[in-house]
Amino acid sequence: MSAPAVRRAVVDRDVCVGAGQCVLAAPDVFDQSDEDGLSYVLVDPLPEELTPSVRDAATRCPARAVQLEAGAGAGAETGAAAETGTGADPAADRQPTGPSPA
Amino acid sequence: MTETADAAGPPAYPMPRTCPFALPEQYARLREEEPLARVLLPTGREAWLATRYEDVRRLFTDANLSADRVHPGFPALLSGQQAIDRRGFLPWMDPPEHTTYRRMVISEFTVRKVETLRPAVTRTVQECLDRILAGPRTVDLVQELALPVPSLTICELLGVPYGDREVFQSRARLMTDRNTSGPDRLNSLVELRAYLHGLVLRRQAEPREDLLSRLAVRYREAGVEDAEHLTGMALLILVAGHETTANMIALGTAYLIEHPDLRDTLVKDPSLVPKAVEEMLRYFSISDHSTGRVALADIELGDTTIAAGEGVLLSNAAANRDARAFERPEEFDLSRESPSHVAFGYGIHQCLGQNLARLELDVVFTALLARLPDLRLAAPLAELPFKNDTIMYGLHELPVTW
Ligand code: HEM
Ligand code: SF4
Repeated sequence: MSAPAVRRAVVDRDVCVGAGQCVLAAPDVFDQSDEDGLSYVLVDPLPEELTPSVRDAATRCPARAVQLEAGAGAGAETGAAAETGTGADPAADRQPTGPSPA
Repeated sequence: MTETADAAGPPAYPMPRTCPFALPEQYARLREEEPLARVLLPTGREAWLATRYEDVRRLFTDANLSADRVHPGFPALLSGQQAIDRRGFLPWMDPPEHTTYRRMVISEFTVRKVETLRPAVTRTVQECLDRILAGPRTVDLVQELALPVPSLTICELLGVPYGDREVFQSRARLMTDRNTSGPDRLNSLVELRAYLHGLVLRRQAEPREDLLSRLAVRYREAGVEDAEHLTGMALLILVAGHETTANMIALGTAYLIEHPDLRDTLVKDPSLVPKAVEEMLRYFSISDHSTGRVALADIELGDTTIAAGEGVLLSNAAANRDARAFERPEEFDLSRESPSHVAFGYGIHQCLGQNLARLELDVVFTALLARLPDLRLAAPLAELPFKNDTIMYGLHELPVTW
């Protein structure tokens, strides 16, 4: 995929279910807290070479809790958008807790 | 059969797997022609069956789909589930209840926490293999390896004292044995629950450094002083983590024996075992029948509307062989990169124990290939008792020799 570089990754801790997919996909970027098991981001902003692995993490996240912010100009994308490259996924709107603005 | 299906009404579900390592034959046709199909359940009710990867992932994240087994529209495959004490059973809960209780246990299953169990799992696996190698040269690998590894691992995880492990294991074994009668099976479940209840009470009174004690503290802090609920959670962890992992060990071993090229590749380069495990999870999709939901409101999917009150079966197995998501999906391919399979489900109920399952399978196959690289089946593959008669796919027995 020739999608733009991802500059920031944000975990929506209100919707994270702690399955650790993001940690498996991008161990340099995500970690799960010992305290509550929820994920958090280790590096901000992201170096460009981590773009593929954070995209993978966003796709894998079962709760669509990993939000990505592309380089200059582009808005935030959710895991679903990162995965299909086509933008909004109707299912993303039906999350019990909507993604909070980063 | 398919010809008459239309005239006779929707096809029956579950659909049988005709070849041990293949999916039900009907899945491929349904996925192409009728991605959301009506099926007839053993209870006589009808439900929808979703078979495409994108649809299945989308439905898994739909907040209008409920996992509540007590809902009259739930597409149950067995009758009588409504009567079971469901306290503590995460997969049967919806938010906000689900969120509250899943959050109590998440920190026990993080990637890092699970990794700390590796030495204990390795010891268990090596001890099983020691026993196998010291005994007669034909064994049932299900009894000697596949079942004891997860059950002892869960003992370790929950903090079941060494002295009690035999009680625990024997009941767990009875519960999964197809020769156990219905009443005996129920009885072993009741005994296990009683055992765990006693353990919960002890840990509530005198917390230690183990999962149950920490859970007891968290329950108390959340104002839930319910020992039965906590017992249910412990029982869930046992039930969800025992037979699943055992089935994967047995199927994976049979598959490796039947595919010597793959086995040789892994013997030469054990660092590929985790990849093989991931592909086995996708390929076997043993929990295909565990991911039903019921619609709480109308849901549009393509041209079809799932009406409020209707049941939907999200076939993770069919999704995992969808060519739209996986190139050459019928091939077992170690070099596969993403997208992730849905063998552990997706959405808020995605398997809590998945990283533990990965760890156990990694340790088991690595050790098995190192110590018994010449393992053979002691009966023809076609004669092995594959579990076509249970909710979870797997093997009842796996006679092997070397
Ligand atoms: C290879 C083995 C395994 C497979 C294929 C598997 C599969 C699954 C699937 C498909 C679900 C989702 C059910 C749904 O969406 O309704 C699930 C949930 C669950 N699994 Fe596993 N599982 C495995 C091993 C384990 C282990 C080892 C444990 C624990 C020790 C475990 C604990 C759980 C729990 C607690 C849930 C419920 C999570 C929730 O509802 O929030 N599983 N599993
Ligand atoms: S993959 Fe998603 S749900 Fe799982 S820990 Fe990471 S952010 Fe949380």
